Amino acid sequence: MKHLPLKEALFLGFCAALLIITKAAFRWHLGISGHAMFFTAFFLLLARGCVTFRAAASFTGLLAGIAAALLGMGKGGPLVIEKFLLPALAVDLGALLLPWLFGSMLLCALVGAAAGATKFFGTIAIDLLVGMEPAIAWRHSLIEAFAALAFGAVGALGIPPVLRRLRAYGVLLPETRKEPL
Amino acid sequence: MFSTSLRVTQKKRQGTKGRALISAELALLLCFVLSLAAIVERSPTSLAWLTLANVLLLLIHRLDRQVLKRGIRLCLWQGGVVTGLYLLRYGPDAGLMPGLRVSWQLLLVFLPGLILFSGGSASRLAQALSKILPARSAFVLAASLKFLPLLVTEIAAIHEAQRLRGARIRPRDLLWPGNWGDLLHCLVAPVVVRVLEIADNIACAARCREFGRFPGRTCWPGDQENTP
Repeated sequence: MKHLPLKEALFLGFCAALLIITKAAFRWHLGISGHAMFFTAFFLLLARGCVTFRAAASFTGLLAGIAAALLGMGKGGPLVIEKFLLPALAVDLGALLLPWLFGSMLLCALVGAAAGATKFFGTIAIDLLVGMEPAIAWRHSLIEAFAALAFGAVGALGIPPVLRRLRAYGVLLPETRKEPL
Repeated sequence: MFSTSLRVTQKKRQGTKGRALISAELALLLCFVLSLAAIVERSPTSLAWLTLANVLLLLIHRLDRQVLKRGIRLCLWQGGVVTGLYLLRYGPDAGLMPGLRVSWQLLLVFLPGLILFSGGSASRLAQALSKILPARSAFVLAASLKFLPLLVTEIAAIHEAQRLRGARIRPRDLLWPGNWGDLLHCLVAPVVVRVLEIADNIACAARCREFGRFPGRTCWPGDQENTP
């Protein structure tokens, strides 16, 4: 965190705030499971794509999780933090393992899907904590994770065009010359 | 000169001008509890009690009328959309009441945050957040949430300008996935540029005030009335 310039930290903070308001605005209880992962994957990948800091997505996820917990979003209380932190860790890991991630729509979709799939762990933890039958909890978590995986992949597809446009504007440096903003 | 006037330690607030009736920590706790209750509670009676609690918090926290108007307009618009979607999906008989209830809940989820983040000063919010976060992260989170209304206004202005240029980014245009490219190129990319610009301005202002010189939380002398 000490190595992260204030401007970049504030940018990540804004990404977290935008993630929270889009999630809150699309909280419609329409029975479409996992649709919130669309925005989560998008903003986490955007944060990691614009900032060279290795834990940028995790920092964004942590801030978003704390803000969501304070605003009372989600029924898990403080457990809502993991809903943002686990996908964020998946994004950071993906960016670490795949250096060409932000230039390829396929890789972005893959990492977005991986971020969505982390919903499985959060869902099963909460289901088991509230005393749900393990067999039902597994099935429920798998369904939730599959839906989140699909939405995460679709949300991540929007990242490469945006980053390409930002590089064309000169806002971000080309991938070959990665330095802080 | 700056360093001598810089307040490193938190001191008792002096005077009553601009003094809030509840502490930042209590406001944060109330915000958490009221928003959580609005999500968990479903019965109209509970929601009515929560509405009353929100009105009381509103009176105590002295929210700016313009911010309140903007927030309520946003919630009414969203309530209309949500109720409309429920009506479309479940029909008028089964969809109206659940749609109105969810809209009411959404208003009650938003309202405490709106009161807290728009009613109090950013330094009070940062002070409350610094109890649970490192000082730098608390400042980042507080500043991001404080400047969020500005960001939303900027997004609305960019959206309007791009629509005037002919970008297909109206809600009904976005029902067709072929127009999503316009959304990314005409709205998302300029918004990211604007966000970076705002972040740069805030960072520059903070650096001018010697932000980060000390490891703990520091505040400018003008904000001393906001520290307990």
